Amino acid sequence: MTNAIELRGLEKHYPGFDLKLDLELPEGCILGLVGENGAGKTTVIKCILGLIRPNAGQIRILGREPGRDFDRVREEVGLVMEPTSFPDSMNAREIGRILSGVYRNWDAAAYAALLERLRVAGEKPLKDLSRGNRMKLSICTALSHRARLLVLDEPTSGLDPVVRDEVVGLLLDFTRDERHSVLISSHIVSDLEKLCDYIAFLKDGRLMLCEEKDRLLEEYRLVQCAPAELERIDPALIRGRRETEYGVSALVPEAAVPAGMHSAPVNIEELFVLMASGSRKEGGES
Amino acid sequence: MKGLIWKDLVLVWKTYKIYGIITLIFLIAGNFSDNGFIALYPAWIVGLIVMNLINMDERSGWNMYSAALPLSRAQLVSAKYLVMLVLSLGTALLYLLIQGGWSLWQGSGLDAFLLRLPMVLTVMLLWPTIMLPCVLKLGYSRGSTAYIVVAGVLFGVLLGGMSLLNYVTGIETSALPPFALLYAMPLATAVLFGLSWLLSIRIYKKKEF
Repeated sequence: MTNAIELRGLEKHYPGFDLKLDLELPEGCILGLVGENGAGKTTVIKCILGLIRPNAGQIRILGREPGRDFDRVREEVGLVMEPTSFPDSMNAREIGRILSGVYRNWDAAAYAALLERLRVAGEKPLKDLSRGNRMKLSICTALSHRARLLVLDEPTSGLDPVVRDEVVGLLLDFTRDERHSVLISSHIVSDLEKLCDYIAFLKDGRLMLCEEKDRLLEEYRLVQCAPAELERIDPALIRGRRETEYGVSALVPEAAVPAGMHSAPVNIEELFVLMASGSRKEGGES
Repeated sequence: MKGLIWKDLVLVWKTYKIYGIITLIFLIAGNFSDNGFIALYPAWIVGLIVMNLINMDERSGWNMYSAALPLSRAQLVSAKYLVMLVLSLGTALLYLLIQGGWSLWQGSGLDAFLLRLPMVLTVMLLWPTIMLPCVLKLGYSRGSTAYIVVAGVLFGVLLGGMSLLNYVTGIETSALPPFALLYAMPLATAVLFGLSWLLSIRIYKKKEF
């Protein structure tokens, strides 16, 4: 299987923040990039899009490295970066006209059909559109130039559940073509759980894990017990824990759960919260 | 790149129509006045519009978005310079039609208009020439401040140099042949405009978002 995105030894340094990771997105898959605010999700996306230059490492997008012909790669990348990145006085029809002069493969008919399907008004200025409609418009533009890779930075944040569901549906439609891939960053983990084949957890600029979602859900269990009982598990194997006055919840590989100890399946949201919090007592202690 | 130019021209049309009306008023008023401000204000507005377009790009997130489109950084910068030229040519044409046409209609010939034209062209191109690299490097707010400093130094050096030339050689710069001096100014500005264009491309290629 070829990779839509390959990041090898990627490093980007800012004062007080260092990003260092390897990451792969196999072609035909959806990879969800999860992490707290400031974990480095947007920095990864900016490196991929060539908006910032990494200090070290290799980037390959759709089999090509950034260089002279990288514009051709960008032809095949659909972007959703903000609710919309156009001035407020413009409307969807004008945006379509602009992008038809940018993308060689712009498909005006597909764009018009998507606007109609998602009920985005073509003539209304952006300033009169709701946040949800602006986001839908952004997704329409990303899907109207025969992209093979979609890169979405927080596409569902601030949207109501109905619009979020529509967005998720669109992205699932997009990946019905097995050559299509999606990289999506979000902290709305429930959306990623519906969408993604792979989940990558970022924390403080480091990739804590990147695995197939189903394998992750199979591999980890949520142990809820008294703190003393948790001592039966090797602390090195505990990937995250949260203590409350009622007991402790811990994220543990299934193989490490001692016989007879009660454990439950974990969902991605719990997995993310426990991994992100590391070891935390409720009330703010770390 | 045509998408970029089209975007800016649509924005100019939608957002700055009022400037077009002001330009027309000042151009017509210029037929009845020798006031330098009235004559040069429409030329100055052109640069102002382009700077406002950059400001709008920054506020909407277009800067970052466009840098990720299948366009080179050189194309992104060149679009702004081309829009600047299109607006300048349009304004120069309006000068020609309104003020040149008025002079001909009055039977006074084009001499006065031709003396004013190089000054208009210079004003039209000079300040965006200085300001565009500053704004593209530092962003609109900090770039505008940098422009005030750069322009202040530049004009200080220019005026100081002329005074020094006058003091040392006794040559009155204002006594130079007016046509040669006047038409040297827009030509020099055009050269500076080209250099500014190249500098801006260089700056923008290194820019991170």
